[in-house]
Amino acid sequence: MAITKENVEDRHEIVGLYKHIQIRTATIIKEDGVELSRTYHRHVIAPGDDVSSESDEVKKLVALYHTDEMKKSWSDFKNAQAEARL
Amino acid sequence: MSTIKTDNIVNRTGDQDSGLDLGTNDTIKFKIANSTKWTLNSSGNLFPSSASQGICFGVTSDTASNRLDDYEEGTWTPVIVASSTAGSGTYSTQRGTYTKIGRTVTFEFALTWTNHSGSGYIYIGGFPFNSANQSYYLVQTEQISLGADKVSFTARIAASSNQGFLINSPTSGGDRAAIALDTTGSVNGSGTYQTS
Repeated sequence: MAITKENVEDRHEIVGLYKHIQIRTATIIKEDGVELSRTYHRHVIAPGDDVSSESDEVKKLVALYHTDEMKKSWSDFKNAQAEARL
Repeated sequence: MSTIKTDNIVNRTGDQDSGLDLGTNDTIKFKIANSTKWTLNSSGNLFPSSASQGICFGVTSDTASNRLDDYEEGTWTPVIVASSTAGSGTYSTQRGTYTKIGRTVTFEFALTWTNHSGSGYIYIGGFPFNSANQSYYLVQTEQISLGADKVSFTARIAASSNQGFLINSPTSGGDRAAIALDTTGSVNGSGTYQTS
């Protein structure tokens, strides 16, 4: 009887004007290859975020979507939000 | 009592390609146009073949606004991202959970930091999905300097974002404001918001 644990990024979603990358990581517990449980953890990558610890697949998406122009647009948006009345 | 044993039941009229597929042990597949659309598995759970499928409520035809096509529960990791210099924190508590039903996300979190290298205002980030609109939620704060005669019960998730300011309000009236980063602090919060 072998119990195994896998962490798999099973969903990447590109959302919104600023192409945020929503990542769902599934933790899958298996016994002899048969899935016993699956839990999810989520995080979001915004343009300009540090992606050094992300998977190669996410890094490719970042390179594709988070261009310098997109990073500037997101930075301008954030600054405008900060200056606006809350 | 007699038993009919078969692996496939299909419609008699038309092109005869929709029905039940019983060819897999302890599994029932519901097929339309020779393609499995729903599966009832050995645990008794029913699931679609495509994540965009769902169940329509309150209507008698397939209407997108009435279709429940998403349910998910999981965890996320709340963080403090300071507004001027994001910096990094040392956390003693960092826990978040969420449930997403349709486009509505319900969340709760607990966050305590014992050090932070950022500067500017307190952004609470790490939410599991981007918010479609500006949205406010309830918080309880500890060990954070709010300023004289100020209270803080709310925080914001900015539109098109998964982070936002912690907010204080003057007890004597006046405008609310963002709260400057404290090197230590604790925030607990819960609320709902809509995804894009």
